[in-house]
This record gives sequence, structure tokens and C-alpha cells, in this order.
Amino acid sequence: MSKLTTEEAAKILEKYGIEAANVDELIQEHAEDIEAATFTGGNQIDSPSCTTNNVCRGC
Amino acid sequence: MNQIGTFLWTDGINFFDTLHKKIYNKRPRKVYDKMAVTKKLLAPPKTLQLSLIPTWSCNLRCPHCFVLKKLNKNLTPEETQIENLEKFIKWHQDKYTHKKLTGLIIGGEPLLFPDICMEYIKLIKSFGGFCTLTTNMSVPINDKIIEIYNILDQSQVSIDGPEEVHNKTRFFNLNMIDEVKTKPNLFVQVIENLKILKKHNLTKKIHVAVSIRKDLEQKKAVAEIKLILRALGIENITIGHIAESAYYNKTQQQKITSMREMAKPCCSFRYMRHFVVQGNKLYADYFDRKEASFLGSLDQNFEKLPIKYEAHLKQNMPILKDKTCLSCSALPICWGQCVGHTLFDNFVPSEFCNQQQMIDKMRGFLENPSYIENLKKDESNT
Repeated sequence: MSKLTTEEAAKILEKYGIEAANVDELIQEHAEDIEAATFTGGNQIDSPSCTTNNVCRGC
Repeated sequence: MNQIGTFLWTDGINFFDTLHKKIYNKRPRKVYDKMAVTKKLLAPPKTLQLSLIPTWSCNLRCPHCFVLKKLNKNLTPEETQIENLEKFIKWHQDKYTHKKLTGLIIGGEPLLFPDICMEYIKLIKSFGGFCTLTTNMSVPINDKIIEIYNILDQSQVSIDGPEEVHNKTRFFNLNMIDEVKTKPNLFVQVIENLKILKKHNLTKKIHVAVSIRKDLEQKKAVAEIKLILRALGIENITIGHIAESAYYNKTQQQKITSMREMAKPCCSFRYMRHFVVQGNKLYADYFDRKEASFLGSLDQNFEKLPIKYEAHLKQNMPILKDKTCLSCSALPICWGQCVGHTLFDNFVPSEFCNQQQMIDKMRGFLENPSYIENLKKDESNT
């Protein structure tokens, strides 16, 4: 898994002028998500309550 | 509202009652009665969903856009008839006594015409409805757009990955750069807009659908975009592959073929009565490129609309012509239209479907206690 380091993350946020005090927490949070991420082409069935299901096609 | 829940728990027609048994007992399949399927589809709707189109203009020309061929070349708004739309919603509510109303503002790029968006949102909210707006977030944010996000319930923003990936995937509409003064770096424009919304504490209303082209799929790219979005206060993020283009038909065909591995139900005919409001015209299908789903005008008598809607559904819904679909246990959540309906003539959904995977996915839902509880809660609130 390609996890970002604290330095990499801080650099990315700095590039876009985004302030975040909790960079380490953000990295940890999304690392778990990325591990679990499934590239299914859309989330209609995983998010059945999504109000745009009708038309979105997951794009 | 949970849409799958609506079907599993409230349907009075026998073939839906057998859904659970069919999955668990693996009974021999029975072909659903086509009339019964149609009857279910035409039952009084519990929800009225309106897709509201302020414009078919867009400041971008993304090759993966599903409505690329419908987009206007230049900056052109649709002529709205808010008073007549209000009459239509009232008429629909009186006729069907439905409890829910949702308005999805989409286009084109709706934020090119914030005044029209505002009119639509106010109307939907005046009926107690839920209003969402789908945007590429690359129109520079102004006070009017801030005002929109203040009263909007939810907004979907589509991003194709971090800067390099996003900018490789998306393209400007060269006809409109002067009119909208869009900055040359699209990704930076999106982030700048999101930063403004964060300052106003409005990013919690945003759902970002991150779709990355398969050949650009990199876990680090996903990590980067999620970091940026989370730092902007956006928690509602989904990751997926980009849906290939209707414009590039060959790619689209590959996409549909790949659906065999996805078990991805998707059908605009299911779940609710859905009208597309384009100016003063009503359509049944957002993807319609041939005016085939035109139902009528907002300044006409509404009583004929259900007849036209029914005729459109019977003529166009692919599963009604596909015996494999009509015998499928997953039909009540799938409805078989997939993405092929508006792209190919004589589309046969079962030829592109991995039926067993679809059924397995449904079983996964039904075996999840918290999912079932949520469905029941949704149902009791309906």
C-alpha cells in the first residue's frame, strides 16, 4: 500500500494552501480507507440511499 | 430514504415476496409475470424525483461525460417556468399522495446559472423536499453560489484524482473560457472553491465522487486526493473507476462488458417516479439523446402524463424484453437497464450481467443485521 509520509502529506497540503493541524490523523484515517477501497466503478449499490443514484452511473 | 428497503419491505406483489426465499432456498426460478412487473413499476410512487436542468451548457468537455452529446456549444440557459413547475408538483402530490420529493439539479454545469439553481432550490424546499446539486466545482465561487450552498441539502462534486490526474482527464470547453473566466488549472480551481466553502463551514454538505481512469489507478493518487479532501472537511468521499465515455463508444462498450465483474445495478426506471425538467419540458430519461422520452410541457394538462410515462416505460425498459432478467432473483434491486439502454439499440441487459454475483451481493446485504435494521427504520419513516 502506498501510504503517504507525514512530510509528503504536509507538502501536498502546503502546495494548495490548506491548513490542517492533524496531518498524522488524516494520513492514518485515509490509509485504512485506501486499503479497503474497491474500484467498482460506482457506489450505487453500496450507497443505496444516494439521491443521485437514479442518474449518476457512478461517474 | 433507502431505496432497496422500499422494495424489500413494502411490496405487495408476490414475486417480490419470494425474493428472500429464492436467494436462500435456491428454488427453481420462475419467470416473473410481465404484467405484474409493469404493475409494480406503475404503482403509485412514494417519491417524486425531479432532475432539474438549468442548462445543457458546460464549461468543461470531459470525454467520460455521459451526456457529452447533449451539451450546448455556448452559454445558454434553459427557460424555466417555475410557476408551472410548482403547479405540476402540487398536481403530482394530490394525485399520488407521495410523501417524498427530491430535486436533483444537474446539467450541463448548473452553477453557470446560479439564479436558476436558486429558483429551483427554493421551490423544492417550499414543498419540504430534499435538494441536491451535481457540479464539477470549477466555476469560480461567488456570493450567489455561497447562498445556494447555504440552503442546499447536499452537493455532489466529481473529481478524477489529484492535480495531474484530474487535469489529464478533464478538458475545457474552449468556446466558453472567456465567458466564465475559468482558470487554466482546473484542479486548483476546484480546490480554491472548496476552500471558500470550507471557510463558510459548507463542505460538510459535499459528497465527492473520486473516479480515476483505470490506466491511471494508483493507490498513492487516491491517498493524495483523500488527504486533500479530508483536510478540507469533506468526509463523504467515494472512490471508483471513471465511467467511460458515451462519446467514445468503444470504450463504453468495454465498460459495459466489464460490468459482468461488478454486479452494479443501475436503472432510471426503478424506485420512484422520475421526471427530467428541462425548461418547460418534461422527459422520462436524463440520458435520452433522441427526444424519445419527451412526455409533455409544463403548460399543458398534466392528466395525460401518466399515460405517456407508462407507454414510454413499456416500450423502453429493457428487462420487459429479456426473459433472463424476468427470471432473475436480483430483479427487484436491479431492473436491468444498466448503462446500455441509452447507448445501444436493442440492449439486452442479461448479456452484460453477472447474475450470480448480483445475487451474492444481495445476500451480503440481507445477512448484515445493521443493514436490515436501517432498512426497517427507513421503511417505518416512509
